[in-house]
Formats: sequence, structure tokens, C-alpha cells
Amino acid sequence: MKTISLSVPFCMLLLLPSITKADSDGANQTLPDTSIYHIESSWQDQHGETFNITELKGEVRLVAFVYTYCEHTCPIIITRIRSIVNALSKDAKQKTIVTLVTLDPKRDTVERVKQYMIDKDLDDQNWQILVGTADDVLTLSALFDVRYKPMGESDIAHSNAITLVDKQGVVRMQLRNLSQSTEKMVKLTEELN
Amino acid sequence: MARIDGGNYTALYKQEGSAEVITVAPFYSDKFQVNNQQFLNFTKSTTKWSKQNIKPIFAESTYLQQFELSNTEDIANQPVVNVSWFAAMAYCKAQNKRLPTLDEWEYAARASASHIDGSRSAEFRERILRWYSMPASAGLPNVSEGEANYWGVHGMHGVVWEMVRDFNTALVTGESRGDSALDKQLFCGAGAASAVDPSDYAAFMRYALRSSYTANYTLNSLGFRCAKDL
Repeated sequence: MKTISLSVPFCMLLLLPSITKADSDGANQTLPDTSIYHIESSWQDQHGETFNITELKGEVRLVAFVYTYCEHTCPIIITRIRSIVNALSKDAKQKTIVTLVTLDPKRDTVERVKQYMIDKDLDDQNWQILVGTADDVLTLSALFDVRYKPMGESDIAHSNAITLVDKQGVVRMQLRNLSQSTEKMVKLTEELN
Repeated sequence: MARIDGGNYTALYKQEGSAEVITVAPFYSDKFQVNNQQFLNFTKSTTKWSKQNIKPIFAESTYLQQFELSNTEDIANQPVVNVSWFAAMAYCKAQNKRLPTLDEWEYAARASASHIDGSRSAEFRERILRWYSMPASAGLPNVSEGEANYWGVHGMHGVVWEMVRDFNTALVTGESRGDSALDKQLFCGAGAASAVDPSDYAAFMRYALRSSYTANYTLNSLGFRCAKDL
């Protein structure tokens, strides 16, 4: 069992959605066949917490692949996710976790993504950004059918998908481009919580 | 494995901000495609990837169906097909290897029997294209029957298509569907417009295939081989 340490009183912890969930007892057998949590890969979040991807189960998540040096679409992706979250009821908003995954593990260190979250005003219990190995990023992105390619020295061309994942890790909806309305995703996020 | 000396090659697609000539570092490549027997052994030791246990998120229902359609002994030395990218990644990892990158594969594949770069040879190109234009036949040759190229790597053309590690970096299709608009300038008018060498049809076909499949696809003409750092 692993617990996350937070500098808040214990009673408050009970009210907060925990970003990592203990799952060391092989409970994956009960996951649906289509759950992305069947992969097993190790990640770190912006606080330096290490965990297996399977530990992400239990919460409804909005997932997107970004990188901190991205100046073009990543800010738009994040703004869109924020607008989805803000359109949720208070209850669903508290329960929904936003999981960003960096496509640039070479440059996006834990320290850097932490600073990024602070700079972008995403330093929030419900927002996390994951750093993994190049192989694990590639595999996870493939599960989301997210494509990306390094362009030149510093840019990465990438899909702009925002994906809604249910508590069991099943992809329930994906907005493939930035012009699709977020309305349906708001509705479904609400329902899944 | 065969050692592939490093070198340069001209990428099919010239992209703004990236070099037209790509430098590939030296690496090792399997001489042959992974065959059915080897893959079967892997699934016996790592049962997560067996036909019986595979999760649909990692492979389509046709995963490894050749073992149901044929006797294992009959197909043991044929290249393993109907295997997904996830499974190929896992197989190579289990051998302490990895899938070759797109650039590594393309670089090694342009070697003809006698030259590091056969891609300028009309004859070499035509032979590749002839195979690409043939229908995928039911009976695949054994992996050892593929012709060796300059590096001693067999059957890079003419047996089955092969997976690469970063297949999902091929943005051609994705871009034209408009789902990945990092910078429209980079991809607008994708396809031949930005290709450095539009006469390399075979490479177009490979890029098109890569950009159209997803990581759980299992095709009966798609296999793989592993690579390794020096």
C-alpha cells in the first residue's frame, strides 16, 4: 500500500480524490478487457511520486498528451480541458482528475513539469502530469491512438486528442481535434462520476 | 544479428525544421524476421501475450490466428504475422532488444545485395515494387528464404511488411484528417507534395501503411524483426 503525503489535515484527505490508488493485490483481473490499465508501466508525477499506471484506476480522467516546451496547441488543449472541468457540477468537478502525459521525457524532468504546472496555474489536487520513459510514453500514446513526431530541435507534432477515461480505464470518448464541441464530453464526464 | 554501420539517408518526407538528410547511428538488426516458433515460445513463457490471454486492447481477434489455421510444425519457420505492435514491442523487450526505429529500418532496407544504398537503382526499386503489387498469398516463405542485402539482413522486401518502433510518428493520414494540427504549415498538402523523392513509390506505400494502422492491428502480411543498440 502506498499513500500520498499531502500537507493537509487528515480529515481533508478523505474529501479529496486521491490521484494514486493502491493496487498491489492483482485486482487487474477484474478490469474490463478494453481497459488501458492492463499495461504495466512506471511513471512519476510532478511531485516525484512513482507509481504504476494501473494505480490510476478508480477515477474518471481526462487525458491529454502535451509537452512543456509546446507553444502552439498545448495551451489550447489545456484551456479546453479547463473549460470541460469548469462546466461540470461541483461534485463531478471534485472527482474528475486531469492526467497530462509529457511527450518529451528527455527534457521534461519532474522539476520542469512541476514548475510548468505552477506557471500555468494548474497546481491543483485534481491535475497531474506524468513523466515516463520514452518506450512507455510511446506505448501509452499508442493505446490512445495519439500520434507524435519530433520536428526539428524543439517541436513535437502531435495529435490534439482529449480523451475521457472511465474509472476502469476504458476510453469512453475522444475529442480528436480542437474544433469539436466539448458539450458531449462534459455530459459524459458528469454521468461517469 | 547483423551490424548496420551508421550512415545518412534522405528521408522520404522533408519536414520544415528537420533535416532532410537523416543520420542513423550504427545498430544491430536481426538477420531474419521473427518466426512463428520463436513467437510461440515467447507466448509460452509470457502468457499475457498468448492467443488465449491477450486482451483485445492489445490485439485484434485475428491475433496469431495462423496457429489455428495451420499445424505449428508447418509454419514454424515462417515469419510471425497477425501480431500487434504491442506484442512485437513486448517480444523484443523480452529478448533485451527493441523494435528498429522507422529511420533505422528504412536505412537498412535501402541496401541492395551489393550496395549500401540501392535506392538509386531502378532495377532494385522495380523488384521491390513488383512484390508490393502482388496479392498477399496464403503461404509465406520461411524467413531464411528472404534474400540477404548488403548488411546480411534477409527478406526486408518481398516477404512481409515489418513493424517499426515509432510507427505512430507517421502523421501522413492523421494530418490529412486534421486531427493533429500542431502547425498546419508543416503538413498541409501532405503526401507527395512534401516528399523529397516522389518516385520512391514503395516507400510511400510503407509510410501509408504505417500511418493507417493502429497499435492493436493484426495483419496477415505484417511481421517484425528486432534491433539492438551497439
